[in-house]
Amino acid sequence: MTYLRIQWTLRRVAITVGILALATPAAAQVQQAAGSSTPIDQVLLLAQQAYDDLNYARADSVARSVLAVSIPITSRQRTQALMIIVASAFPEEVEMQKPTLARGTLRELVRNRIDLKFPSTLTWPGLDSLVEAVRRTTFGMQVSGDSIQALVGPDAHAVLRVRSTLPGRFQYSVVTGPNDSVIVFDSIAVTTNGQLRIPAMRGERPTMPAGVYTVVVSGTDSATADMVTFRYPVRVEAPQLEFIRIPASIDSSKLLPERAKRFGYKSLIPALLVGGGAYALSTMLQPQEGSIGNTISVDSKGMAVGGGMALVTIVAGLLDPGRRIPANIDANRAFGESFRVAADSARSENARRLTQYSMTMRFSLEPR
Amino acid sequence: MIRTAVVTIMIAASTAAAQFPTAPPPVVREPSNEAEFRVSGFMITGDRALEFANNVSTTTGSIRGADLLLRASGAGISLRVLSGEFGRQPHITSADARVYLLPKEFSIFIGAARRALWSDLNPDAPATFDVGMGGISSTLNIGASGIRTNLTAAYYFPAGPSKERVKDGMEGEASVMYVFPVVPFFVQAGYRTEVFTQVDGTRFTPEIIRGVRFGGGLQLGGR
Repeated sequence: MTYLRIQWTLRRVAITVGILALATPAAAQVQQAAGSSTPIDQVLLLAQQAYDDLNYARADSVARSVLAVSIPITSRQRTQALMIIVASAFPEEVEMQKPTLARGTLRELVRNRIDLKFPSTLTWPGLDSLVEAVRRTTFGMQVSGDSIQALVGPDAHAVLRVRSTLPGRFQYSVVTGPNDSVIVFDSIAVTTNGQLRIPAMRGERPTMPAGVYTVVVSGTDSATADMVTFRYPVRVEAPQLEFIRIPASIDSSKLLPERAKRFGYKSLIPALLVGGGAYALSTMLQPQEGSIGNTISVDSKGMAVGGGMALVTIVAGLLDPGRRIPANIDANRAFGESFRVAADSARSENARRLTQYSMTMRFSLEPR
Repeated sequence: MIRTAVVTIMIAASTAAAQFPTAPPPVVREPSNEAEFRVSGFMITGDRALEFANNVSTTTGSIRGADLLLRASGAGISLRVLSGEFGRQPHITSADARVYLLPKEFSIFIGAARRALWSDLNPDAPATFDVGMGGISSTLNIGASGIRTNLTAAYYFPAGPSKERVKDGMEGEASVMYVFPVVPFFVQAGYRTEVFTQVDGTRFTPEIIRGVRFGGGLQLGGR
């Protein structure tokens, strides 16, 4: 036992050293000269070779070392390592099978890749059956969509398709910033196959200005509440959308007065003139010759008429609505018409800008 | 970068094309003196005092007449005829024509009148008097109320073939008109006094007619 432990330890050290050696620039150059595979791929090849040599323990160990390295690995490399681990845990040799380990690792695989299919170099009918059995009982989710989506107009949407092995609820949110501030989110009802639609605009405004965001897609098993979450970066290329500002209405303070000021108390002057005139005519205007001036008396009707006229004139002045000013009325009407035309033009231009507005979303749909 | 610049330029260009008018252009105030045409009939009810041979007789009566006015902003003409009866005093008929200068708010006028005095006994041989006249007139609109005030003062001076028989005379009238807002008609009320003095050698025959004036007619323009 102790010997075996030492042997495993030495093997792990050797693999790690080998990985590091392969990861050096010189080794990378050699590998590039040999082909396009990376050092991680070379290590996975070692694991595959160990599996082919029926050395399942070593295959498992080497594959796990890939998962343990600190350098980033791709989703494909991670999937391949996990498949080697599963295959090593569930070979054809019954005595070598570790069903619990194989099922657990398979669940991890199926959660992210519902269409998982083992390559012929790793599988056998029993393993295929096990994969199908796990797939039927594990909630797994897969997100797909065009990596570049051009959205034109206010009703355009970017579409992400979601599929799952079991019915589930799906939702997405587009987040940004260190606090994952949610820009937009939506959800769809229970299904195994649906579409998440990310709108280009809301309220005639771009949903997202240009920048880099993260799309967080979550699926929840409707029966067990098991949740799977993926995060995808998305780069949004969106020009500024500027609208012409349209005033709500004409500034009435700019309109010309359509009536002159009320005559008001200015009517006192003509009232005095006309009233006083009637009074004077009834009392003072007389022939200078003869005695007629001494004979006739003051005509009281003149004073009454004068007073009445003065009163009427004053009241008329106070009730005066002001003279209409047709030129100003016409100018205001023309002003209103030109304002309306300009507003219509601006609305048309804004509508054109809105319908022709275009933005691009570039998704990187490899689960993180 | 280039695309951004192009988009910016396009937006700026279209924004500039959609400039909103800020205010209506200022309008030069329209002249308030508008041409007018007026035809009216009137009646004056009052009294007439006539002194003849140091004897003053006063009696009531009325005058009926018609006048016509045609006026532009700075000039105008008017014609007037009237005829009145006051008891047993000689009847009076007169006609005059005037030319106005300056706007109606304050205008001066000159004119001429023929005045005839006659009785029922000699209707075909009236005593006629020609006079020249000059005076001032003021018509003021009280805003848009439809009310306008009118003041007229005239002086009669001897003129024409009968100038030896005329000493002088004066006329004054103060009235208020109301012009209806829609239909082109008006009504008028006021007070009028007329003084006239004949000369026959060294003998003066003064008379004064005064009374309340009512009238109405057609009024076009002049609001």
